[in-house]
Amino acid sequence: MSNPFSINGGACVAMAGKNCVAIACDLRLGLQALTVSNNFPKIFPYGSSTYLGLTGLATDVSTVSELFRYKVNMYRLREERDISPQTFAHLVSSSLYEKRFGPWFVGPVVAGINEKSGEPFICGYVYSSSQDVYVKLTCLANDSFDSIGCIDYAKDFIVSGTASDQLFGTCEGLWEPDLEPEDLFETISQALLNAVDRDALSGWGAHVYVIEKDKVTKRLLKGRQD
Amino acid sequence: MFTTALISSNLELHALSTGRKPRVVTVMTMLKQHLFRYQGHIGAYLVVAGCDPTGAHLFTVHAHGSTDKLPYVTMGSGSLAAMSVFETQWTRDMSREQAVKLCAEAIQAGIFNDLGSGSNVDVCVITAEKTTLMRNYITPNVRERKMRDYKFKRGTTAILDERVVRREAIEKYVTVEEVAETGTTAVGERMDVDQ
Amino acid sequence: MADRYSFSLTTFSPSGKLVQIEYALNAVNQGVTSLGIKAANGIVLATEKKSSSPLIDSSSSSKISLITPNIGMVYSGMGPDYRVLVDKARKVSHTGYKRIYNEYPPTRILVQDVARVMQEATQSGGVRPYGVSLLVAGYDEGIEPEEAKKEGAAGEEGGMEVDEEQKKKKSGKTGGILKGGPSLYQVDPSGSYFPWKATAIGKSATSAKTFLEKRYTEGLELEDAVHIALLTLKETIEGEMNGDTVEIGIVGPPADHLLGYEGVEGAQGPRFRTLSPSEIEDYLTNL
Repeated sequence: MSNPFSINGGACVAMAGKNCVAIACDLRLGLQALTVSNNFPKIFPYGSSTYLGLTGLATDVSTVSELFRYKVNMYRLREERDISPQTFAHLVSSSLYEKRFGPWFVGPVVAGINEKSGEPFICGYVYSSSQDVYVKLTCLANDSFDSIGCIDYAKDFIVSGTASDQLFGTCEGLWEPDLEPEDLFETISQALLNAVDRDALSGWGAHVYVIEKDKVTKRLLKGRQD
Repeated sequence: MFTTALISSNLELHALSTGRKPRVVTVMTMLKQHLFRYQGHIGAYLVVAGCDPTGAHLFTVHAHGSTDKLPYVTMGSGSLAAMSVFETQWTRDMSREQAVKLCAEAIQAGIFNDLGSGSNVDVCVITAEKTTLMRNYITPNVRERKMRDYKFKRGTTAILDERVVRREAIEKYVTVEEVAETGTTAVGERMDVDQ
Repeated sequence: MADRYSFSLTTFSPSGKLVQIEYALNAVNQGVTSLGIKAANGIVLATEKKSSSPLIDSSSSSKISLITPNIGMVYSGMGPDYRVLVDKARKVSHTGYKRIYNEYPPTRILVQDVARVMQEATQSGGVRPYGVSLLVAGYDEGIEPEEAKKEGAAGEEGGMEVDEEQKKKKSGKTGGILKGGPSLYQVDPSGSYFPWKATAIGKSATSAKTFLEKRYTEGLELEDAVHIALLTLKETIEGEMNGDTVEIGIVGPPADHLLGYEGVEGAQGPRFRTLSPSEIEDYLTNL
């Protein structure tokens, strides 16, 4: 009830495939049980192949997405290049930790393809209780985090939001390694749709991005509107 | 993670400005002072180990800033299981192979007997010359591949709208002009005072 | 008059000059000569280590410093000012970059940060400009020169219009900071900075630059660059040249043996290192 992570509801999931990644979110914005909008996307682009999904408190979702728009634009002006998903993941991580004792109530998911190596990359930031916040990074591919622990290599998927328990179930059941872009789309879409149908606070349509080396496909899914 | 990153960053600057390799006690002191300042609100519990000119050292640091100096240490939710292995099998002056084996066994005791610990064993060997990290030294919990595949037929999901952005499409709007290399460019931008 | 110039030491003179910056440059031009040469696969920084007395323990001081594992720096001018800048450069590379992105800054970003520090000293109250010019050498990951050339060549085949466009795009990629490989910058007390293929600063900068202009060729190898650096230094140096009186820093291939640890995926050794006196002696005997 008073948990800021579950006032507005929402779900986000990212999956890795063969030379591609997908990231998807639902479109609901609610005030507890009351749905206010069915057009509140939670995925934001930060470069040609770097995407961020944000679930949690809607006001923080908007503010944080704008904050990163500012930070990434400044990065691009300074460095004359797009930010890589790995670098962006660390920017997100340090920006979250900056607010260690008064955190943003968001659950970010980063997905993208490293333009230089062509490696797919997904990662998430898992919070434990809202009282004391731990930032845990889950990441894929050969990323050199500071090597002292805390790395949880996940080669498969990242979930976030009020439907995260349901998403864990559907992803665990449906995901398999080396999915082609078209198959990855079906898998992530079905994982998301079937998870949000089992969560009262998520759903009402969905966006799915499939990111390949030189192509991004954005699809609006037909989801239940009840 | 940020605690270790911060201390590692400070330590690197410290090493560069002193021109020496940092000592284990320095790391331990920096950590405990940092953690004590935050009165336990930074929930980091660490094992600090290393070799420096003063010898090999092993410490544990707790979130409130207290430290221990012991011949063998364990931390985390599996620490009781791991410590039981150490308490029964540890001996003085073990060889490198013996120590690696004992540590791996202690961690496996945590993996199998503590619900909060799991999966694989990483081992790190630190000598005066170099540090060797052996990631996934033992992997006793490799997941089996699914027996069937659960791919959906393409076209299962109903789509209301689709948009494709290709990289070439983006690049169409960007023009990069290579300026011919002329030695005069740099001079032209120089301030008068520079000449 | 006194209050007109009391805001900061660097106030414009009526003729539009900032004389304090000119004085700082004078300090640089009295300093010991330093030089840098960019090669195809690295950079060499070299300077003379001058000691005023034979009683000085020359092995305990150094003029070439490591800033990040891939970036090094040398100076001409005032030693104490340089050491302050080295500390600030090291600190800003962590606080302004590594602690945010978990990677070290590219050379140009670091150069800009150091240049900002130096510029601020020309516009703030109660301070004087730094009495040093710097040579900053670094190596960046990104599209390496050879790679870019290859891509460009691929586009050139066939005279179709599409290919023409392709070629433009590929070569355009090497612009800006995306360009990987070695880069060499000079930073002046005014805070202005310039990229160079080879240059010199300090007392004999002019004659050294003339010498470098004659000796420099495109596509130089690192070993040849060290050779040229020593030859140039030989022209300007007063007194004997040996491992104790010459200092050399190189940006070369990653030195994984200097990493100190192994088994960490993706970890790379530092590219920047200073040569030991015996290594310098070896180069000198082959001169």
